[in-house]
Amino acid sequence: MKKKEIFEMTTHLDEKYILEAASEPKKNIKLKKRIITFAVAAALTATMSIGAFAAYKALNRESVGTFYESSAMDEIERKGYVSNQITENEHFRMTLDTAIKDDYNFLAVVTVKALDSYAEQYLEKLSEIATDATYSDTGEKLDGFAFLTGVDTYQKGKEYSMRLNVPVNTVNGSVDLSRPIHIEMKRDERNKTAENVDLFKGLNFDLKDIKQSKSVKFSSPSGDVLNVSELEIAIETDKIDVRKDESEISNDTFESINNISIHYKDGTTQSLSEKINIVAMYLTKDDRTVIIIDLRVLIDPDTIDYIEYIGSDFRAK
Amino acid sequence: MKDNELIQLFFDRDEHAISSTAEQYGKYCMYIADNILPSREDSEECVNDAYVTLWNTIPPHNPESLKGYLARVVRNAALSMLRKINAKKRGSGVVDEIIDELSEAETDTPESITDAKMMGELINGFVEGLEKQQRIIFVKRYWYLCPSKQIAKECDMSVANVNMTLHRLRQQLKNYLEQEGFNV
Repeated sequence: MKKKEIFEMTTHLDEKYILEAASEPKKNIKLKKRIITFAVAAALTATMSIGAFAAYKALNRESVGTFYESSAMDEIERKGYVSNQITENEHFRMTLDTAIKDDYNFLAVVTVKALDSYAEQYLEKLSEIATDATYSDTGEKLDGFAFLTGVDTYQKGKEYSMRLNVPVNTVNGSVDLSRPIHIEMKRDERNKTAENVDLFKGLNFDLKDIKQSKSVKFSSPSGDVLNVSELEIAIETDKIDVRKDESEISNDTFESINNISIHYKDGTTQSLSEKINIVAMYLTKDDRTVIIIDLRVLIDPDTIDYIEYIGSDFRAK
Repeated sequence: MKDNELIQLFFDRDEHAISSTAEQYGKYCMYIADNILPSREDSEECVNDAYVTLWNTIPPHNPESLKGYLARVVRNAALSMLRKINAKKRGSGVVDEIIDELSEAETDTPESITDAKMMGELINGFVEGLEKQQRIIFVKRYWYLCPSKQIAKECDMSVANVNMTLHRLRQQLKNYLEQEGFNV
């Protein structure tokens, strides 16, 4: 059966399904709100009970919960991956909710709230915001650090949650995340909704002392290496050419990229297929494809015996 | 006003039938047309044509659900208008994009079906077996032709999750069609 026939087939969907999909699933939204209310209350209780620990930071669970399961957010708080850095002007309030690094990416969740109609229009048109990055200690410009681009975005009213996976080693150069970095938001040239308004003036983040996630390397008999950190799994491979258009990548390949099973040392097995937030691919300076599997859960790489992925067993090196 | 009251207005040839229908379902009709057609003006014209179709077909037709019947009329009118628009604008791009996506669900068997009843049984059998949230995402994308960003907003999900769900649904559809023969 060909694709046009399948499209034609959708014309004959029963009216009950058409009407069912016409309205938003409000039940889920209500349920989520209840959970959020509970989570905020729980966070307040936790803050009060361990008030002596000044470093404890409660997470913005409404925003971060878009990308992480509840247990993962508990771990993010416990491990001190919460940032809660806020920058604001009359148009936007931006919060760097979390900030973590591993060997491949700077990982963060940023919440962007529109405070006026100009900002709302901008966000409606674009989900990306242009930035300039420099090393704070020398002022050296960082062309390879594409903060706030290539992100997974989620909108709720005037608020956008963005999950960032900013590669530290791409064709545009390498980034040393152990040095302090200054991020300046700037107007994107494609912004045609508010041409005479500088929406991003004064908005900036300072990244310093970013916490490093634990990571372990696992290798296959053929020499491919999986780098497993707490939040994502990365593999460098020559088997897939990222320069190809996504449609040229076969379904089987796409499916195999999304199927990953972890066998733990305690004998249990976990399929991560349903725990994947996004799979991203990019090209490194030395022309290799990196596949990043971004997870909705946190995993402890030290507890892993081996990993089944793309037809191979990967074991700790 | 309830559906049966609106339908009665059509049967009575009451001139308020169209204005009352527009008041009740105008936004819903524009939602369907806007996803398919390139401009607001085209959508408005299409929706107005759909009201006329309603006037011309009820009676004799007596739909069980006016909203469901109207939705079909608007979608058909929008797709038909799109074929006539000779520019590669947003709307035509969306339909092409969706048809291309469905190549993932193509089966190798050369057989095709043209019988509407059989098509209906096949597609409804597939969506019936889906969980409610998956079914809504599938219908929003392939019947309403909503972009992923819009589905994400309406279903309280991230865009990546929507795209991932759609990819899996296309795989499930392919498996389903193969299980069903597809040697019809």
